[in-house]
Amino acid sequence: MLKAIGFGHCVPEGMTLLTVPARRTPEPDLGSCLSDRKAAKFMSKQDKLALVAATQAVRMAGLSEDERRNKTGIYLAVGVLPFEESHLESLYEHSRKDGRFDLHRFSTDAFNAMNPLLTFKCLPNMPVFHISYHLGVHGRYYVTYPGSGQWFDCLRQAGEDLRAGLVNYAVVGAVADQNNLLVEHHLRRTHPAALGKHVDAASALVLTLEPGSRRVFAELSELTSSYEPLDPFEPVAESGQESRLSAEAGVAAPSLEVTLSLEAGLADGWLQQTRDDAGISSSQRVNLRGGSR
Amino acid sequence: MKARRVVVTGLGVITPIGNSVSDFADALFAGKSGAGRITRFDPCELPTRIACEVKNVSGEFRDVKITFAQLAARQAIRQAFGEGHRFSADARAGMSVGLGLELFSMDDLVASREPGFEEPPAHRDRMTFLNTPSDLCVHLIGREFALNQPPMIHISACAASTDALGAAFEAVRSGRWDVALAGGADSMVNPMGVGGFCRIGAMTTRNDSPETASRPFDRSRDGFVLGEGAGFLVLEDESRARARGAEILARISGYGNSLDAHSVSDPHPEALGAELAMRRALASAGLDPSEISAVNAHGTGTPKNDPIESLGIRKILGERAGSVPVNSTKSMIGHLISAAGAVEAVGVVEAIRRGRWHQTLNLRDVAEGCGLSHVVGAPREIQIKHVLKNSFGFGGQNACVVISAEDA
Repeated sequence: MLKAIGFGHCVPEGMTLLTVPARRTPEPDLGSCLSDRKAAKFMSKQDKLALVAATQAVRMAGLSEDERRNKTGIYLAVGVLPFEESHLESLYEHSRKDGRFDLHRFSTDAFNAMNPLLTFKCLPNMPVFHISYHLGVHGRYYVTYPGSGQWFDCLRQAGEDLRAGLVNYAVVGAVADQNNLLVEHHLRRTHPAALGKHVDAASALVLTLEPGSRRVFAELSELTSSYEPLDPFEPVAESGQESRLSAEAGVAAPSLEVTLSLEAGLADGWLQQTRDDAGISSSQRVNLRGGSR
Repeated sequence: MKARRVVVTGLGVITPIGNSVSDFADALFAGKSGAGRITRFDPCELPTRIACEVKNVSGEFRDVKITFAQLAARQAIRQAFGEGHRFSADARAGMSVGLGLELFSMDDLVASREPGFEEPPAHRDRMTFLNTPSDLCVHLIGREFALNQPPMIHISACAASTDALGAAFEAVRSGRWDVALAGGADSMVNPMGVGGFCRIGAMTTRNDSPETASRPFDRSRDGFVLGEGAGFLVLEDESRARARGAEILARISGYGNSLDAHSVSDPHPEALGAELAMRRALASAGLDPSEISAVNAHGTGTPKNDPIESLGIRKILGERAGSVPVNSTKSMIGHLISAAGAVEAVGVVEAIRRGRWHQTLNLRDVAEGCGLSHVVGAPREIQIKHVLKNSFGFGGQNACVVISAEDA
């Protein structure tokens, strides 16, 4: 049974399990999360969200430098690729000619205007880098994409690595940067009803099999997953699933259900079930130990 | 319970030097380069205007990596199980795949902002308009072969498909899966991909001599040549494969990964992450470094990767670093990014079977810090038992698998 000894999240102000959230998550306050302030310039919003959530969880778990360095793995699910609006606008302005994309302008004007940091901010594996860098974690790792089924796969991988003794602690999280053109475009074609309820969010748990004297906030058990691949070119039917969240948190939703419940100090247990757009159905039992941080 | 042995029973590739395993391997041992001027789009004034492109493949999708993945997966399944195979419900069959960035279309972005623009009416077209989700190929392939285990999708950049291969190995070894289709697919030969890599100075600018531009470990290297393609391997529990009379091509015997925790772009200066990944792979395989016959390097041809990777290999092999042959497949096919590890692993399996270790093309003057037993000029005849196969990604994500001969 996986035991959660730390948790954290980065969500819109006022977002709890059942309240209506503000649409925008404030710029994450990196503050004390950075081991090197200069590194912040390489970070996208997604990177910041993931780092803040993971740092909260790791600090709550009280992992020492040695435990983080040699005995901790990072398991992270990220959502559909976001793209910072300012970079996109610059590319658009500098590569348009007579209402069409112009390769010559792209290769000259847009290329020269392109911020080199764009490449690093685009890469979906970068949240794992920033967590590893600022928390001093040397792995294992598993970084995956793009639906909620993948968060359950992170849990599965973390559990296997813990049981195999490859790590003693697992930082398991999910991050969804959704308030941007590309993700909103994707939601419009797959889940139009979610538009307007979508939020930027990240969530993380620190899991272990051997908590020792550390406080256990929750136990996760009975993880199951099945797969019946859906045709990705057919519209996704709305699942009609009951969500414990009032907002659309994308890939971060199932993780947030757990961490927001912990935040609220709930003491109940429930069977968490999801079926994602790809046809991955997952469930697990979540037993909270009660009491907030 | 004794861990299961994991064997390779099928291979498939789409590469810049061949679109079948035999063509690809023949070209590797002939020392053929797949580089040329970019044809997928007009690179105009971009600093880099060459790449290793896949030839003679056309597909129905705007994102070519979907087609690459489908074609390579079909080859691998066909070799392992025959034409038209679909897995039965009682076979626990899953896919573990390394995938690259979503294709983002600048044409669509500009078009979408013009007056009177309307999005494509068909859902199928909308799913590839502006950006194409990279996981589409996973579910198309999953449906084609009736895969029934939740897929593992790895996005650890240049390490992604080696991670995919390693994770599939672990899934079969542990008994969670019976069969795995493991590999990767990628193409960043598009304006945003090439432009982005140019902007950070990662690629060569030897536009006038494409075939000699990829120079891993050479003093004159100036960056990688971008490649594209896909590679897949079918992994199975050995007893299951033998029971059905399958041809055993090789074994996967170990996997490790690690995080540098050092820099977004630069490897750890002491090769800490590279060394950790290799040590973890060896531990997973239960092997001592003295049992390694050869190393297939990440070997990008960038100024930063090659000496650090060489340092890591020397730390692992010790005195044997002067005699264990090392090569870089990227010298011929370029850097396939998320597909690199899987395609290179297919090359390793073929090398084991043929008893030859291909050369690192264009390596003439070994750079300072890159001293290893490089294979240059021609393939080296060698009996191979165990190979370390490295892949290291931007952001310090490092993966290594041990690929072994069937009888090792």
